[in-house]
Amino acid sequence: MSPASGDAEIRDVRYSRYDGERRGAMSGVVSLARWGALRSLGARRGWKAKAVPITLALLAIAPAIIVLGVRALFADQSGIDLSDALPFSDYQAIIGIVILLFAGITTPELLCPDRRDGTLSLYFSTAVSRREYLAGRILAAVVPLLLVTLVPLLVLYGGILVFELHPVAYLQENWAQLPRIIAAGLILAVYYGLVGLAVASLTGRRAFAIGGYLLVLIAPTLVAGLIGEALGDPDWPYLLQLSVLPINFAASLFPGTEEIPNSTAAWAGAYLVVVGLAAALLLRRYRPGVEA
Amino acid sequence: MSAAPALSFEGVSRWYGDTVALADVSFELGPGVTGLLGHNGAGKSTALKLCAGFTQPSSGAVRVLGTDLAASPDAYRRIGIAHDRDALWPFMTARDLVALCARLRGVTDPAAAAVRALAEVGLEDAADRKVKGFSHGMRQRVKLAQALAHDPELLLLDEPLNGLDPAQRRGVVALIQRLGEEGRTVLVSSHVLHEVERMAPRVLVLVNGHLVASGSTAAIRGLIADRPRSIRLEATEGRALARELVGAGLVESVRFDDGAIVVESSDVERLGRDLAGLARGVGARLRRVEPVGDDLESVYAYLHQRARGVGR
Amino acid sequence: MISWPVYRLTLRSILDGRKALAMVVLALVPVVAAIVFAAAGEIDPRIFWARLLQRLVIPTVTAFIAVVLGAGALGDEREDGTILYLASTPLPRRTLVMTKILAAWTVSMALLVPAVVIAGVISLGDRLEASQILWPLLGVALSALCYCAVSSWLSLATRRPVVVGALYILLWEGSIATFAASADRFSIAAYGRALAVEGVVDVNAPDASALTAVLVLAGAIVVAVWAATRRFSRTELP
Repeated sequence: MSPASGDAEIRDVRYSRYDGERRGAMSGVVSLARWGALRSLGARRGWKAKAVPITLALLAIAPAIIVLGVRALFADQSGIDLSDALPFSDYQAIIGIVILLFAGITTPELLCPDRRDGTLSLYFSTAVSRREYLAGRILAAVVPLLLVTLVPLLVLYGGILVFELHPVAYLQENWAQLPRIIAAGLILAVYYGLVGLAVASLTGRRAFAIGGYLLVLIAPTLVAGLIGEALGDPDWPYLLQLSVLPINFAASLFPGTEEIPNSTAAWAGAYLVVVGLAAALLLRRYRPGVEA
Repeated sequence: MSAAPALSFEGVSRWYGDTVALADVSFELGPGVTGLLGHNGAGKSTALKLCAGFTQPSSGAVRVLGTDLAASPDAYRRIGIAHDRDALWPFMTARDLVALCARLRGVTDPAAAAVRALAEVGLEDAADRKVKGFSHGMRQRVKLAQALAHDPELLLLDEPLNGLDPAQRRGVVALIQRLGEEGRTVLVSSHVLHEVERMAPRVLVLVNGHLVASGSTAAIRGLIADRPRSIRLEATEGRALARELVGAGLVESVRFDDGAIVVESSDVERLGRDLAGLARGVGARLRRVEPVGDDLESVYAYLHQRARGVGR
Repeated sequence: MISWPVYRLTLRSILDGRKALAMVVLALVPVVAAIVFAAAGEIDPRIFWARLLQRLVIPTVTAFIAVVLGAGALGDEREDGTILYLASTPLPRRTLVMTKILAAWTVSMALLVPAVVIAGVISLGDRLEASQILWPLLGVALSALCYCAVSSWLSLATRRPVVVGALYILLWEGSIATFAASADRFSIAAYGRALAVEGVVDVNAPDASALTAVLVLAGAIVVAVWAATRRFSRTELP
């Protein structure tokens, strides 16, 4: 009720009611994910913020394009069989540093500005719960990562199929690669996305988040490499090479990769420990009742 | 004014890529308070940054206390700057912070200087608290205190009244007035006119990077001869008088406001000379003649409107 | 040359944040590696010590600690806007730059010296000699100073000094320079490594002679200070 007398009126604008259609919590999560992902890729920011993720994504696809291009141009004349030039199991290892950097640059963008600018409490004062916020941000981290972990492999797969003389026969022989490729893409995206977010959740400064994320993954890799050498190259230190752990795990899913040390189960175990720790840290940092 | 003005701009321009922040600005400042007026984005902050030596002009020359700050930073001993960024070392107490700034600018007894400066801005009671927990108004006053602590000749204050409550505003306005009366050169930027009018007898007006007016407010008013001025007339036989005024070509517009006539005239002097005769001619009795909105606000609005196309 | 009030201010502001704590954790990494080696290592301890220095202590631990602290010393003030209080003093810009570098280096060394000494004593065990600790300390000290100087220039030249510094460490020193020998001549870590392993053993061909390393690092420090001073007086503050 607004007090009014004569032609004067004081309007009560402090509390406004929303009368439109309500679309439920899922829509909030999707919206957080969508805008988070776009922003981390540089939407509504300067050209520099766009250039880095785009360059990295192009670098990730480049090996597939090069192999396919060489095959398209020269394979007929020379008669070289290039179908095994770039095995699916090796691809992610080749672009490993690109994937590592892509996640390092995109994930802090999802959490740090909200902490630094104090928008976090604004989110939580609306209908969005902490869990929903987190779910939206994890989606926003993982989905763009598929651009560098899954899309290049799919491009390669699709390209081979197109150039194949008998595509149906190739498909019959290699259909089982497709679920492996998808699994590999998801394994990497979830791992780097969650670790990146977990480190970013500890700080409001993007620079520290990027530096911390790189150190958390690279320092154990270096130490594990040194210790492995000092101990006469046993298999287990490879499990501690955190920066390439998911790549080795994913590669071990493909047939013909017996030279990778440790069993697939051991890789899966190490993978789940790291991902579990990252998820636990995220849930703890965004648990209900904690001041944003 | 003495030989070397405390602050002078000679044909100063500053551009950022395609954007011109300041275009060919020239002025000289002597002792006393000068207001730097302009809307957001008019170039106030760029002008103050140039004064403070935090950026260099793209062309032209800025001279502060007779020297170029980039070449001789020694002049910073005589300059106090309160900038618009809300930045203070959070882990220091107000006292330590002001004392450190005073020490860095060559004060021999920084502790005493800090006590004095904090008392000036009314922060004695909070002097030993960490700045981390300060409100916006308190931080604003700490910034002012560090600008004062080394007893500077030239003070550059960027929006010093932001975030202050009305009582604190009055205090700071009085302080700035006093600093001007002590013979210091004070440049205060603001977009709140009536406050500038209270503390600064002189103003510089920036619109879209151009210096459109400078000098005392009264003088600026007088200089703009072609500015239509509104005059409010209270008279009997108002309609007949208005008809005569329009007929004689003395006024551009007439409107009736609550029984009075408000006319706009670009030649106020002639209006003043001829008004009495015209009124007598139609048998009207003038009860009251007064200018409307003849304060800085209307001057500023007019200048802004006139210069709107400039620099875009 | 050095402004001690600003030096003390910088030490306080580095130690005030959680950044210093993260750096302590990083400094402990080589100690942990040395403990694991001492418990179960099978190779010559001097070879392990040289590899630890070459692959972990210099190019990662020293590099990151010095770059993060060096970039923060001026960069944080610039990001927060407090740099304006320092810039509006009679101190020459070069004094400010050198003071900031010195402060960042002081904290870096406070973390690195104990870490190197402890890691060295643990991994060398009974084959410990003074030169096997002193040369690495010299390498760490000079390369840390160089990283601090370069990153303080970066913090004035770009808004993201830590990111650029991390990319330099990982991409240039960590990837490209390991393939291309000529690229290695333009990496700080190469000269730090050369000094560090001077007193240990010749595990593999040293990257450069000790004298060259000292001269190159000193030259790089001077150039970085000069460039940072120049940027400081030319860029718009904050």
